Amino acid sequence: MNQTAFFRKVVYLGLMALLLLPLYWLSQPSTTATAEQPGSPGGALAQKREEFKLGQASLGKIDPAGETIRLATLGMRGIAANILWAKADEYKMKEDWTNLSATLEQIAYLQPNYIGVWQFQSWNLAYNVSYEFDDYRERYAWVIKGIEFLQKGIEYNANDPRLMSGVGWFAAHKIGRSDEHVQFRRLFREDDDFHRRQKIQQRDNWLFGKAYFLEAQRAVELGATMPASSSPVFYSRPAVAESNYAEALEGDHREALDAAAAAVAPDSESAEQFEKRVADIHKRFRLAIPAAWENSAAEWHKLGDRDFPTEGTAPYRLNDRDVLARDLAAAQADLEKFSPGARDRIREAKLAKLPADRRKALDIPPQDRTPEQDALANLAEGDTQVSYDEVAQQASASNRAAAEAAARRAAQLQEMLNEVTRGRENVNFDGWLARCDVELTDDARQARRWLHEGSMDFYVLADLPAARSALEKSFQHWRHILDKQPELIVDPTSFAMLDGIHVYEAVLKQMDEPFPKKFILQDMLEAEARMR
Amino acid sequence: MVLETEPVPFSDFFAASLPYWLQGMAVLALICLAVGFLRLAVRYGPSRAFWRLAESGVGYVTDLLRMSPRRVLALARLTVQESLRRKVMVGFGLFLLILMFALWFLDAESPDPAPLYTSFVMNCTSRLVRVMALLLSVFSIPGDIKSRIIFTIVTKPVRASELVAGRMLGFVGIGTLMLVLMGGISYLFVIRSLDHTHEFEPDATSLAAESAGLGSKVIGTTSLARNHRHHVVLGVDGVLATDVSQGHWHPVTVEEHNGHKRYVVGPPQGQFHARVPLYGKLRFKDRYGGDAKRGTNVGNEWTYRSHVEGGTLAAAIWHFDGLRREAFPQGLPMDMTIRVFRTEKGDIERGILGSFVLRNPQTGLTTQPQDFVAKEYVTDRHLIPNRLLDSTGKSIELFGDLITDGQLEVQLQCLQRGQFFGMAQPDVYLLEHDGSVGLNFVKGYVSIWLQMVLITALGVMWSTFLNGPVAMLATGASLVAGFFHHFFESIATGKTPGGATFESLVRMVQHKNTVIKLEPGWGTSIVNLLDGGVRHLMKLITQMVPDMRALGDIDYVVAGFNVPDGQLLVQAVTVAAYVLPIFLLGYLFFRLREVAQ
Repeated sequence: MNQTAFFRKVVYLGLMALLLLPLYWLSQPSTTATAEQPGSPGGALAQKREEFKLGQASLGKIDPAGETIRLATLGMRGIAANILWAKADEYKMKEDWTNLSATLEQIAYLQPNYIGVWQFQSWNLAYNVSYEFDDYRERYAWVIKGIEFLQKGIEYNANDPRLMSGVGWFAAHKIGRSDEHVQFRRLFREDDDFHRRQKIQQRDNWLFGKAYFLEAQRAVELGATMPASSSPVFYSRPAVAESNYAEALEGDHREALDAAAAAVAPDSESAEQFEKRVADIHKRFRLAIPAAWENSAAEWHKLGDRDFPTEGTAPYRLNDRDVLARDLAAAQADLEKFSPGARDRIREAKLAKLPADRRKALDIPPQDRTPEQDALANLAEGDTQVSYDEVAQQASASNRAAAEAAARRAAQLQEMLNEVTRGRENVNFDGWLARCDVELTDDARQARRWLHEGSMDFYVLADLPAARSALEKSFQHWRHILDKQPELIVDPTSFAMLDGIHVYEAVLKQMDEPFPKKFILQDMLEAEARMR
Repeated sequence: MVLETEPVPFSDFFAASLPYWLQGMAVLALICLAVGFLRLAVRYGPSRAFWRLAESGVGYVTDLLRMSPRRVLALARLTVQESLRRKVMVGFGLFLLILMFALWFLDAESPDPAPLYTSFVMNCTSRLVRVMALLLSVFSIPGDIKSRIIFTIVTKPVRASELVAGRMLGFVGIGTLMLVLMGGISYLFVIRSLDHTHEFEPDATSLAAESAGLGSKVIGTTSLARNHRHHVVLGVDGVLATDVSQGHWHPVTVEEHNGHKRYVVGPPQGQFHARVPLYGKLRFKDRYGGDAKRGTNVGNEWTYRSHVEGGTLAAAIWHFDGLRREAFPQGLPMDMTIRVFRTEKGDIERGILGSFVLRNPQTGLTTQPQDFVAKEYVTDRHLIPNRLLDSTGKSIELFGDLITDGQLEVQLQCLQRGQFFGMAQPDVYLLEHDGSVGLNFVKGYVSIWLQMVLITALGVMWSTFLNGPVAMLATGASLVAGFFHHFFESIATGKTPGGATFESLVRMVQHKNTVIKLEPGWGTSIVNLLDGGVRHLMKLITQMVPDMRALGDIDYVVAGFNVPDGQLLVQAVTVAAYVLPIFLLGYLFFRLREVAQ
């Protein structure tokens, strides 16, 4: 009996030893080469880790505190993380920010390579928690906490474009687009402690964000997976940030003038000194703003020249739109030669087969349609679309092969053109380029100059006639711009001139004069009203 | 401080609980007698069983009455020695190890580190002590029985009651020793970890401002230390101090060296408090000035606070009682923690304006409104002076004119239309005084001690008739029921969304959220029937098991509020009320064992 038990134990031990062999083969660690001996790639798992960059060292920083806390959970990391997530939610609900902040740290220690933790909780800090505070300085501090939480995530997950884009987005949009953007931008500029901790030394939030967007692009170019957004949107972010920076400088210019006016101490500063200070501000911004728009235009042109891969077809560029449109027109003309009038005939035939309600909806002009009619008309458009292949099939037998080749080419060009158009629309490529062009014209420079002069005359010098005259000069320059590029009227809300119009209203009010019925920029005002 | 349940005064608690407790004891005694009778009746028949039961009963009571404190203490000493032999100090070593590496894991950038650090050490101690009490208490008696050491004890002139009491007392003794050590070290850890100073070197402009005596203004910023810095403020009285950051401030003194001024930033102040508040009763007025139980719900998931609408007649009114002139010789220090909810952006640079008036609830005399700007997440203190102006501008006395019979009302309003102030009852209180921080820390540890006593008693009781691992599971289950008392209670009262056990199971399987009603039918009827049984079981558990969370006072210490003495008394009496029947049951079970006869 005892002998059998002993024998059984020996067999078990033997089997355990045997199992160690595959384990050794799988788990053998890799070693680096030294002068004395060559390195080894390690076991299958080590090789796979290296291949897919899954080793802790490849992912990012190795943190003893995190490793300790993970070991201390004795394999129950998932359960611990779940409990902490639930606690974090409760702390947030109960407005216990000290414990929320501490819990997020612990979650990060437990799951440092789970990107969702960093993304979700940093958003929580920068957007949801910051919003809970009434004091904008506290709000700013929590936005910064969110940004730094993401930056910590980058330390653990080097080269993760999602986190880099996140930092860029928070710095650029949360700071630059919040209700408190004026205060946030100022606090960001003046936050010595934050900037002392940063690798990227850039005090403007838009440019700081742009630097991180570029880092994210570099990471993608090195092989990391692109965040879940379309390629043009992802690659347009630095250009958008640069344009927003240029736009924000207008606001900074006004703010600097207001601050100069507010800081006037009547006894200690002469009028000359004050004017000199104002002139310095004007000089600084009159150089900086066009330079920023130039950089912005350069970024958009660079984006236009970038190759975007497509599935199945050749890569496309946003700048290719006109060339593609021309080639498509040529291909369509080729096809038309093989099957003259075929497209119209096929469409007529399809129209004839349409159900009565769809046909009726299609006949109503788009602006007069009800939503239901619009939906029906869209269906009708789909039903009556004529493909290039259908046109090619109408060619004579002798020309059929050539017609089909022309149809294939036209279809391919059409697909690429659609892709390019979509890409341009997604990033408002045309709008931004037009904006850059406008802002760099002499008219725009003059318009800005007179606008600032007018504002100063009104707010600081209280010279109403001078303010009125300066503002009217500014409006004339804007009129020239809008006459040249009427498409800008569609969305005027971001233009500095709107502020000028509001100042002009205030000037006239103080002069007891009515606002002109035939205002020089009336179309702009109407467009603004529509937008709002 | 968030107080979701109002503390009950000791007299109310005692009056309400005593009959309930006596009833419980009587039911327990009846159950014991019934079980004993049945057991004896099976063996000896009903008539002999009655006399046997009476005989045993007298024996049990005599045994209890003849307990010798000397023998109990001797057994307790033996238990302490045995615990030390069993390397109980490993738990203490573990605590030290945790403290050594704690700074790695504590959030150094926390907006208020003092509560975080205090909470960490107290929770850490509390958990370790609980685990230690559980492990020590459940394995001792079963271990003695298994190793037959128990025979060397029971053959001595020792009563079973003394043995059970000695074990309980011994484990409590060793636990107390460890708790004292842990408490002392924790206190030093928190104080030492948070101690820091900054450097301050003002620039020329600041110095000019200081020498010009321009009144209260910021004259510079300190160096960075522990992830924060302070503004140095020159007060109107000429005193230099920093502003509050990370929940504390520093005094700043000026030293002269060879004609050069040197600014010395002192140690942190105001990190720890033990505020003794006097809370009022809160009621609301709606936007038309009518009485309302609660203010407006602005859509927060947590309904602890409700809101008053700005620019309307809506108001929050606190009614204070028991105000004495001797307690407030300098006037009334009123602390406010008001939340702000904006429905429109308003002026971002400025806070929301509010005002409060004081009112005599008996005479209706009111003061002139005092305006303030709401400050969130900080304690905003307003000192109400002894002399004030009434609504007509006439000078009045705080005590005498405004406060009669110790009563006063504070009516608070938000002044800006479209904006709201949020508040709960404890958000406005009158500060009686600042208690001793050290003593408050001790009180927090006393509450941990009370929990430990209860766990030890439970562990010893279960171990008198179960073997070690099973006794551990039973004690663990009692603790789970104790720490999740509210959850069990919410299931018992049907307040949990999604029903009890069986309804939840059905919802999980069918992927139905908690809002959708189950379709009526026989299946749902069965589920409801089964859940009814579960609810009864839960109700029974909540009535038998103590609410362990209600025994803890860590939250008070962490939030910087004095643990009310009455509350500590309530907790001590609660523990005693549980420990007594637990001891009696333990003794009963142990005596029934062959080894003890």
